[in-house]
Amino acid sequence: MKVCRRCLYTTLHPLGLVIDREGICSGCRVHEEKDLLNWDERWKRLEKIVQGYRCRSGNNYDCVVPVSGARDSFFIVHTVKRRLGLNPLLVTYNKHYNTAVGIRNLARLRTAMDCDLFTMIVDPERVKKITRATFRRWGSIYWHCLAGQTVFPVQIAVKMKIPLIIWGHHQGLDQVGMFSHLDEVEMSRRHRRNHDLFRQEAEALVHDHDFVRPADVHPYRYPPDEEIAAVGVRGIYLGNYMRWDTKAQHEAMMDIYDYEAAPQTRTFDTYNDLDCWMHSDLHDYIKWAKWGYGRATDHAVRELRFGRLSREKARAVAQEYEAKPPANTDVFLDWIGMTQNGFEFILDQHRNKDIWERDGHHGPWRHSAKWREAQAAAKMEPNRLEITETPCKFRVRKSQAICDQEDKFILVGKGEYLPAAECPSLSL
Amino acid sequence: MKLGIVDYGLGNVGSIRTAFQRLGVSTFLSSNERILRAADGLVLPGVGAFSTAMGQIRKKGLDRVLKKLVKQEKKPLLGICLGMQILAEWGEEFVESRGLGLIPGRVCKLQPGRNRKIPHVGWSRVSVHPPGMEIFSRTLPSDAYYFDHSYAFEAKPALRAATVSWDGQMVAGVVEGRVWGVQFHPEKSQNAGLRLLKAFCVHSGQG
Amino acid sequence: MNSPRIIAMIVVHEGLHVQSYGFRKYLPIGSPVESAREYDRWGIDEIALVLLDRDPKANHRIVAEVSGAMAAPLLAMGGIRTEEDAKAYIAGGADKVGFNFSLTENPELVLKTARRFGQQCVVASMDLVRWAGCWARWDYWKNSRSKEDVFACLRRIELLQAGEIFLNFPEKDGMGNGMEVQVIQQIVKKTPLPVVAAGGIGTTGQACACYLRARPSGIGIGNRLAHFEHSVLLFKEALKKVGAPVRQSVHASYAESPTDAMGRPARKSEKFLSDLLFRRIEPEKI
Repeated sequence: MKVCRRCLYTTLHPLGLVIDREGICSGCRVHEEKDLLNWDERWKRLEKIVQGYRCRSGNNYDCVVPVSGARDSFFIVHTVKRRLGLNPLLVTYNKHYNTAVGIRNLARLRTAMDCDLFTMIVDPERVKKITRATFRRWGSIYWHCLAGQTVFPVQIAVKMKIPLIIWGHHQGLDQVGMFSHLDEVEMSRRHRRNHDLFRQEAEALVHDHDFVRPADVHPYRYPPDEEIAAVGVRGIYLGNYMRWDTKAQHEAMMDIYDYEAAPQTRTFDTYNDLDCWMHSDLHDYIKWAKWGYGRATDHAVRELRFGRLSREKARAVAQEYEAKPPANTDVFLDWIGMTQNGFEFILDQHRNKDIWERDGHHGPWRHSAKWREAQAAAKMEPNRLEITETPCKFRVRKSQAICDQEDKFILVGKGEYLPAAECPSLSL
Repeated sequence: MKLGIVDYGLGNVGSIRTAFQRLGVSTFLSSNERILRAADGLVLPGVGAFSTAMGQIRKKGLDRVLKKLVKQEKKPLLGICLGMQILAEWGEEFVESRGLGLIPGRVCKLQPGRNRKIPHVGWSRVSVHPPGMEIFSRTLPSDAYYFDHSYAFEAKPALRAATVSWDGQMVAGVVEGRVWGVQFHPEKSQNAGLRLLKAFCVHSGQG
Repeated sequence: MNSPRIIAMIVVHEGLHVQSYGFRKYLPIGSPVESAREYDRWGIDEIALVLLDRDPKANHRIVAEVSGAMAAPLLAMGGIRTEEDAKAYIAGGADKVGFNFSLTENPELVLKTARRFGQQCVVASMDLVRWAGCWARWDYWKNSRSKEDVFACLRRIELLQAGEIFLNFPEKDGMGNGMEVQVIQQIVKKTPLPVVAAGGIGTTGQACACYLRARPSGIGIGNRLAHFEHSVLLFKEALKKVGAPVRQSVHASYAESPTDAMGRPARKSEKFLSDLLFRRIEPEKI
């Protein structure tokens, strides 16, 4: 295992990471491009690409834009509609794990942006069955979210003959420098299968053991190549053409559109993933068990690379949040119909035993000696970036609207627009 | 339906088995007469040199076994690449050696010349001749196959299932009775190859 | 007549498929098996696996896993130091094995492999760099230019019973600014062996330029193939448009698709798209 001298990532990163001869990782190297590239020029390239997709007759939408109640959705739609002047069809996959704030944000998005929105809601019993299966096989409670979010826009693009899909940022480029901005990487079925779906197509989920039948995975199946080619579907990423900075972008959206931001269990980032009960909570706890790190590390690395956190501060805040136990386990267990013991039994089968050890079969898990040795051995002269913004502050903003249920997943809710008020922010 | 792949220690059987698996056809590997007899059809793979292959075949007594199963008992057989070449009577790779003699003809070295690269390697479409109508019955007009060889089978027109254009026409497939041979690698020719292998399955299934 | 082959270069570093720049900088893409599986689904004509690490067991395993995921020919290059390595790659499913180091440091191994598995199994790989107005081979194990003349090396390769020549250009690796067409053409004309070349492809137009001028048996494309969906199909379509007899490999087609300057699909006409609502798209039958 090798560690980057600049950020906190190691070569154990699930997306893969390359450390170069100077000890700097591929993610940090690609991040350097943010301050080297001519973004005005790149914006012009984007304008040129989308120009070709405007529907002059007005018979169809110009593009498909996948959204949710979080994750830069406001910024993406704002850019597509207000800056590029396109007529988008918004699509969203219902994650089921929806929080009230997420429901309100999504409603606010649709109203404030004045866009059409298609929603895919798979029957809850089917989603629960699939999630039981994916948790058993791959230790994942998020498979259906990833499978659905990555396939629904493509299905709509093919069905409605809207070739262009516009995404925000490319996670692989962002975290591990999978691609250079100059590559202008586009969406691919291979990436979905390799990195989101554990190297199998959705059809592979069909299994007698889990009672999953072909009809159950039908909503998650990728359209055939022949149709994708016939329509000429392309998924482009705004992050290849804009200096992507999710913190700054969310803050701008809070000011313009009253985007709500809420504190999370296992991370200090109050902007992303607040539409989900699980993402920065139980799902992140599972990630920590499987990979030895959580979203707080991803966020700390991101802020470090922007010069907003020192390496020491980044490590401290990541460790602080990753040590917090999940707060919403009961909501999940209640929904899926599992006991705490049953859940832990399956989780422990997917737990990385190189990273974790315990006494006997029931003691608490702790970092293994092997892991601690590897961390110690990885100490080397750090590579420090200049701090450009301090302290690193994450705002909290809440609407005065009251939603039906504040303590459960909300499958379908109504959002109500009331201005959101600023609350004390999180300062790092 | 199950097909027997003749095991004589040469040839990459993994890809052949995977290809038939994609068609839903089960295969087994054997050099035993009794076990091979139970197959609906036989596949003879081959990679390497003619004389080495024939040496291995004779060592395991497979020349006698194949003659019996194929000539007497009319078991369908598909020879692939070198597996097709050893069906011939004679081959001239390194030393002149006798082949299985299941299809009349001899295997000769490709001659260099202008615009002729040797080995003949790459993808080509083939011209199907009347004797090859059944072998190529599922072939689409755009289908091409992967070739990679330095020797070619010389056979009379009545035995030519297909030819490939290479400074003139070179034999790409041979056939006599239920013995088929293809110079190219159907197991390496993606869907075009699968279509040809399926034709062999259909033929073998006819009993 | 043979179709010119489009060959996917899959560079493997520490078990990962990586993008490669100058054979020095690498960016992680993911599993080499998944990349091979996808390129194969798109009808790639061949895959060249370039194994950079020195762990024989890991290399053997990767070759076997990659070969199991594809139905097209596989060339495995790198990490072959003994007869056992060559045998393991071929037993694992590789159709061809590539030698670079051994061409100079252990030519006996090349000859033995050709004798044992056949000439068509052996590929001789050369890294070429510019030097003093002409070309020299780069010995990566010495990190220096070889003194041996390139054309003398070609002749030696023919005597070692190699079946194919594979040309790489380290200075072009990952640059995306076109191939070294002139020297490729010279080598294609000079040797009776088939020649494949890789290094420098960024656009479909550059692949076309190489084909039209140099007529190699195959063109290797690395980083660029991972950048967009159906890249293989779009490269083939561009080559077809300039008259190259490329193999029509899959049912999905970009024949009716306009493309932009990089070779990526541009939008079809609005009329075409609305007519598509009424057109049935046939799935492929085996």
